[in-house]
Amino acid sequence: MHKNIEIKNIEKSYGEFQILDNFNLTIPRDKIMCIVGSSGCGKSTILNIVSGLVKPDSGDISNIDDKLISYVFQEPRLLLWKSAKDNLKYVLKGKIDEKNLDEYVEDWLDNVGLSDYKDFYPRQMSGGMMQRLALARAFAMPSNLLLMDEPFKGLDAPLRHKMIELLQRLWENDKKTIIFVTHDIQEALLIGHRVVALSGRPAEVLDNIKLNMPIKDRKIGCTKLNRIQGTLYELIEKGSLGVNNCKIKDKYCPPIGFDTINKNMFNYH
Amino acid sequence: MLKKIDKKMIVLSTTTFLIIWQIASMVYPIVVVPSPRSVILKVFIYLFEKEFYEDLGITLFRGAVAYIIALVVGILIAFLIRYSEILRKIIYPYLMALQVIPRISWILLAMIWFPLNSTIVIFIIVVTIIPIISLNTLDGLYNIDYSLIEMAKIFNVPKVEMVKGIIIPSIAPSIFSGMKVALGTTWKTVVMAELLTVQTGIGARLSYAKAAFATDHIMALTFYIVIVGLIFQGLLTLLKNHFERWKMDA
Ligand SMILES: Nc1ncnc2c1ncn2[C@@H]1O[C@H](COP(=O)(O)OP(=O)(O)OP(=O)(O)O)[C@@H](O)[C@H]1O
Ligand SMILES: [Mg+2]
Repeated sequence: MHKNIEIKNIEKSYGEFQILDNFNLTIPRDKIMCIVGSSGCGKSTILNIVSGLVKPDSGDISNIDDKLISYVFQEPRLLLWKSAKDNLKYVLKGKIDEKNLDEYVEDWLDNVGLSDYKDFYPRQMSGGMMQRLALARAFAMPSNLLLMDEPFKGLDAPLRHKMIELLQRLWENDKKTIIFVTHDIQEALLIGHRVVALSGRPAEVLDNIKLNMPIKDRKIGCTKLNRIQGTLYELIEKGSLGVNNCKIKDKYCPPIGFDTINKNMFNYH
Repeated sequence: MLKKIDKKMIVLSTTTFLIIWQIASMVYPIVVVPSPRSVILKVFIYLFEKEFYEDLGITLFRGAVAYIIALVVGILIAFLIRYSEILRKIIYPYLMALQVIPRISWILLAMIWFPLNSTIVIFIIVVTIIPIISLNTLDGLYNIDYSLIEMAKIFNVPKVEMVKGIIIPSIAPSIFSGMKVALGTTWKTVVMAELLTVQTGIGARLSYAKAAFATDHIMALTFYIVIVGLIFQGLLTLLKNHFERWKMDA
């Protein structure tokens, strides 16, 4: 049984820029946590710290040691010299039973709509196709922690919707911890058990909302989601205007009162 | 259609060349410009001369041994420089210096240092092409996309697979371009070193031909040197294309 991942007192600066200053966040286990925030606020940095790729200057992360990680990076990070199929096989070799590997890989390519392109090299693909290949790779990888950095960018609306459904299905079948970074608040509200809004530099948690509505019931355009969406927009906009310390939180956050919309749907953290 | 025109052009330019050559050979003494006929004849004569093949074999052997030694050592040096800061500081300046030392200085020094046999020829080639291989490999090593290594680490790809799947394909294009330049240099250097230092091989044959003022032989030998050089360049290009299939259009 693994516990929640606790990010505690993380500090990280690049040169003179303090990206994270005493940053704390609890990532609930086996749930989907969405992180929204303005560009450059440190979302990718947080994922990189959680994954272990970037060392924080100080602070620590607990309950991460036993995690098998899978990652959709902000860029596709594909091997240009391997075909779509071989890109998946490259990371899955030794993790999936050898005799089922081909079938497994083809199923995943099919899931992201790339079954006709399995022998294509990345340079023969469009940006969105490469992104879907990176998605298939991350989904196919057996893991208990899935990190996703703006995974659906560059996809048209119907495809995006399909990918959201795919992620929802994936999670329903195999409940794992997912951290999902996005700019799209609507997307976050469709798939997050929690939505965390970050301020600009240094990144602070402006709000941490728990959404109890079952993921499969969430639909684009439903009024409840729309109203939260509006409030979140406002929050992030204010948080990223530059005045980015706790005062913002004191001023704007507590009284927003989501629970007036629907008490059962979410509550404050 | 284009091919037809190409063929016509080749025939036309060759004929023009031969005519001009023929006229020149009639104007100048035979030592300066031998006739096309005599050169072509020598080319044919070599085809049936057992000793010629032996010399060609010796030259190829020296070139191949030197090329392989320089390839292995050159790539090794590049890795040492890339992954050790201290070794980089020590070796890199020498590599740069090696690159500008004239071949002829090496030949003279080697004649003083070594007995006049294959060793001397191999030595000269090795020192000439090591910097070419090393610097090109180094270029590739510096251009490895680190984000791919990170990806492989996250996905728990074993180290061996990282080398096979990422490092080698990333540096292969640079190594190939180094190998290509080095191949041409090897072939030219082996002939020159032989000419100046030893009594066997195609280079030595050139030296004898020159002593006898046999200009037609020099030209016929040069013809073979060019042909063999081109064949090897072609083989290397085939190998490179095989490795870089992914760059081709579907
Ligand atoms: N390797 C690095 N060296 C120096 N600065 C960096 C580095 N990586 C990130 N930064 C800086 O850290 C800040 C946060 O970057 P990060 O990539 O985490 O932002 P982000 O929230 O993911 O933005 P986006 O939504 O645009 O992807 C940026 O201001 C960036 O300039
Ligand atoms: Mg980012």
